[in-house]
Amino acid sequence: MALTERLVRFAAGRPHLLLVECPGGTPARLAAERHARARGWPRADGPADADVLAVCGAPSTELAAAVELTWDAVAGPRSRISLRGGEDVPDALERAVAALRDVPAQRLDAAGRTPPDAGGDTGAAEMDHGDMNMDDPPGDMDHAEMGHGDMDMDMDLPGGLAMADRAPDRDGLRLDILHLQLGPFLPAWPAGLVVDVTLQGDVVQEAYAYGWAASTASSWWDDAAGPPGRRAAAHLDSAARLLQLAGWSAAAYTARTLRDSVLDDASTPGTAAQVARLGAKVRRSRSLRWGLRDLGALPAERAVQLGISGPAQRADGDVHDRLLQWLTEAWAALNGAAGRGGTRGEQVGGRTASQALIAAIPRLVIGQELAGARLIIASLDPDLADRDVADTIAKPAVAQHG
Amino acid sequence: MESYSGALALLLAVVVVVLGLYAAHLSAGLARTPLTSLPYNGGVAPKEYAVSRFHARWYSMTMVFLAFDIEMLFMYPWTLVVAQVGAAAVVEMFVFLVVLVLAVVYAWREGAFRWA
Amino acid sequence: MVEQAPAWAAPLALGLLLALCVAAATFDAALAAGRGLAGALRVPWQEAARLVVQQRRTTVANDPLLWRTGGVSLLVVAALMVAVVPWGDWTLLDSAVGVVWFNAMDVLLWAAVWITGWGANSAWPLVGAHRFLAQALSYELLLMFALISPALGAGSLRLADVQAEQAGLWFVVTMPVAFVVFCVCVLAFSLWGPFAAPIGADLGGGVLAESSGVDRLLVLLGRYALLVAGAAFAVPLFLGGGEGPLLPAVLWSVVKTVLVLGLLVACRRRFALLRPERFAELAWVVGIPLVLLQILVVSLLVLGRS
Repeated sequence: MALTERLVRFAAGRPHLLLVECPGGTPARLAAERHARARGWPRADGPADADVLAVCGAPSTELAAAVELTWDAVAGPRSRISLRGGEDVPDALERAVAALRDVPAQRLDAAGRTPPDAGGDTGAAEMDHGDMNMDDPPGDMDHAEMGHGDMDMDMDLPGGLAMADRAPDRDGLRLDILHLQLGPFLPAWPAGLVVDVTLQGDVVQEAYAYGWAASTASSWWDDAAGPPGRRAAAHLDSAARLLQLAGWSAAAYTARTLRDSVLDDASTPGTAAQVARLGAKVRRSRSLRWGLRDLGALPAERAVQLGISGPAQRADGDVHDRLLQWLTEAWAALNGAAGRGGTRGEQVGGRTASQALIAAIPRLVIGQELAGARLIIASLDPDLADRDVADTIAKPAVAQHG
Repeated sequence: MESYSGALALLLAVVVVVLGLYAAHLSAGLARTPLTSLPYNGGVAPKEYAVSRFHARWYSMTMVFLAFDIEMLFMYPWTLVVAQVGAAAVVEMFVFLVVLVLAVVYAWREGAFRWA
Repeated sequence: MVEQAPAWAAPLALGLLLALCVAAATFDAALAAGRGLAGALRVPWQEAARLVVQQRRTTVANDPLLWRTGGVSLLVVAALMVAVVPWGDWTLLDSAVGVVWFNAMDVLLWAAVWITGWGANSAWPLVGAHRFLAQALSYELLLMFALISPALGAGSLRLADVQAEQAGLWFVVTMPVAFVVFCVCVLAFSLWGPFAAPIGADLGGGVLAESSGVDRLLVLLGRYALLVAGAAFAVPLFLGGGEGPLLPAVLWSVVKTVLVLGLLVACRRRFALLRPERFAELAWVVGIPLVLLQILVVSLLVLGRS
C-alpha cells in the first residue's frame, strides 16, 4: 500500500501530541511543550485527537493504569513516549515520529487490538455508586481495584455499563444523575488531581477532590535550587493553562512562550515588559472578563479561613482576578520582588498551600456548570508534586445549591 | 421559476464527496475496522451510560424561545407587506415585539438566562 | 438579473465551497503563531491525510446511526445553504423564500450537532451537545432578526431581489447592527472561535471527544464549510452581491465572500470562549433589543420610501 505509506509519512510531519502529566513530571511537560511548539505540533485535547501520547513523569501504579486506558483509546497510527526529564525529549519526539511512519508495525498494532470485553472484566461499571457510602473518604479506596460488588443490573447491558441512577435535584425532582471523574488526565489539568463529581445535566451537584498518586518528588516550581525566575515561570504556566481552557489559545501561546524564555534566562531585558504587555492585553479583553467574572468567587477573608495563601488569596476575587494576579505577580517576580512562600502559597496550620487549594475545590465547584468548574479548578492550579499533597482528601461536600 | 434540480445536484455532489472520503479511508486507511474503545473519561473507565435523561437547566429559556419562534412565523411574511400596508403593519408588529421583549426582561429578572 | 444555473454547475459550486474551506484552514494555520505561510499551506492537507489514514473509533454501546448522520450533516447543511446563494448572476436554487431556507438549514444544525454528541455514549460529548443547544437557543433569534432586516429592506425573501435592491447603497450601511449580529451568529452555528464551547478544550474536545479518522474529518470540514456558507450568504444580504467595478459579478461575489471569511476566521485568535451560560444573557438582554431597534430603523426607512 504505497499510498497509505505516503499519506502516513506526509501526516507524520505534524502529529497531534497528547501530554499526560504525572506528579513530578513538570520539567518533562515543559520540555515537551517547548519542543512540540518548535516543531509546530498541535496539542490534542484527548486520545481521539492524538497521534503521540507523551507520558510526562513517572506514573504511580494507579496512574499507570490510567495511562493504559488512555493509550487504549488512541486510534492508530499511534506512538507512545515516556518522558522523565527535559533532556531526552528531542530524541523521544524523533522516535515517536519514526514509530508513526512505520506502517507495517502500525498495521500489526491496529489489527491486534481487541475491543473491550463487553460486560466482563473491563473495569467498566464495576462501581455501583448507588451503594457507595459517601461518608467514606475516597482516598481510602483503591481505585484501581475498586468494585466487583453489585453487578445486578450491570451485566445485562451491552458494554457492561450501568444505567444512570436518579437522585433529587435542587428543586426536589428526581432526575438522572451522572457520575463523572474529572482527571487524572484532562487538558490543562493539575497533574495527579482527581475530582469526583455528580452531575445533573451539566451542573455539578456533589464533588470530592483528592490527589490520586503519591509523589516522592517535591514541587519543581518551588525548588529553591532552581534558577531565578522560576516563580514567574510558574505563574505564567498557570495562567497559560487557564487561558487555554478559557478558549483564548493565542494568549495562552504567548504566556507559554514567555514562560519558556523566562526559564531560559530570567534576566533577559524586555521579558518583564512583555509579561506586562500580556497582562495588559488579558486585562483589556472583554470577552475574557465576560466569561470569567463572578466565577468561583473567593474573597480574601474566606481564603484565609480555608487556609489558602499565595496568589489565590491575594487575588481576593473570582477566576478572572486570580488570572490577573498570576500575571501581576509574574511581572513583579521578574522585577526582583522576593515573593512570600512557595508559588502556591505557604504552609498554614499543617497544611501545604496546595492541600488547602484542593480542599477548597468542592466548595467552589458545587452548583457550577461543568466548564465553569473546570475553569475554577484551573484558577486554583494546585501543584500535587508539593510534598504530601498526594494524600490530601477534601471533606466530601454535598450540594447546598438553590 | 423555482427548480430544485440544482439543489438536488448539489446534494448529490456532497454525497459523492462524503462517500469518496470513506472510500479513500477504506482503500488507503491503516485499518478498515474501527477501533472499539471505552468512552474516554480522563483515564478511568466510565461508571455508567452517559446517555441519560439530561437535566437541561436552561429549559425555561426554551419556553421564551418558543414564544419568539412562533412570532417569527408572522414576521417572515410580514417583511413582504410592510411597504404595501404601511405604518399600521409596523405599529402592530412592534406592539407584539414589545410585549415579547417585556417577557424577556421578566424572564431575565427571574434568572431564566443563568442556570449555574 | 439572477438566473437559475444548470444542474451541472452544482459540482462547481461544491468545488468552490471546498476550495474556500481549504483557504480558510490555511489562513487559520497561518495566523497561528510560529509558522510561516509556506508551512501553513501544508497544514490542511496534512490534517486531511492524517484523518483519512487514521483508524476510525467507535465507543462501547454507541448509537452509530445518529452519531455518523450528525457528523456528515454539517457539510450537507452548509452545501444546502450555499445552494440559494446567488454568485453574481447565477444561483443553483432561485427560491422565493431563500432567506427562510437558510434559516431552516441552520435549524437542522441543532439536530446535527446534538446527535453527534449524543451518539458517542460518552459524558463529555453529551455535555458538549447540550451546550450547543443552549448556545443555539441564544443565537437563533438573533440570526432570524438579522436575516429579517435585509429581507424587510428589500421587501422580498428572494436573495436575488435582496441583492438587486442594494444597487448603489449596500445594506451594510443602513443595517450595520444586523450585519455584525449575522456574523456573530455565523460564528455561533459554525462552532468557531468564541463559540467553540461545544467542542472546547474544557470538555476535552466536547462533541468531538470520541471521533477520529474520517468521521472527525467530516465534522471539521463541515465546520469550515459552515463558515464559508455564512460568509457567502452575507454577500447578497449585506454587501451588494456581485456589485463592483471591472470584475465580473461572479468574481465580486467570491472576493467579498473571501473577505468576510477571513474576518470570521481571524476572530478565533482575538476572543476568548464565550460560554453559552454567559452568552445567553448577553444575547437575550443586549442582543435582541439592539437588533429589534435595527429592524425598527429599517421599517421606518421602508415606510419613508413608499
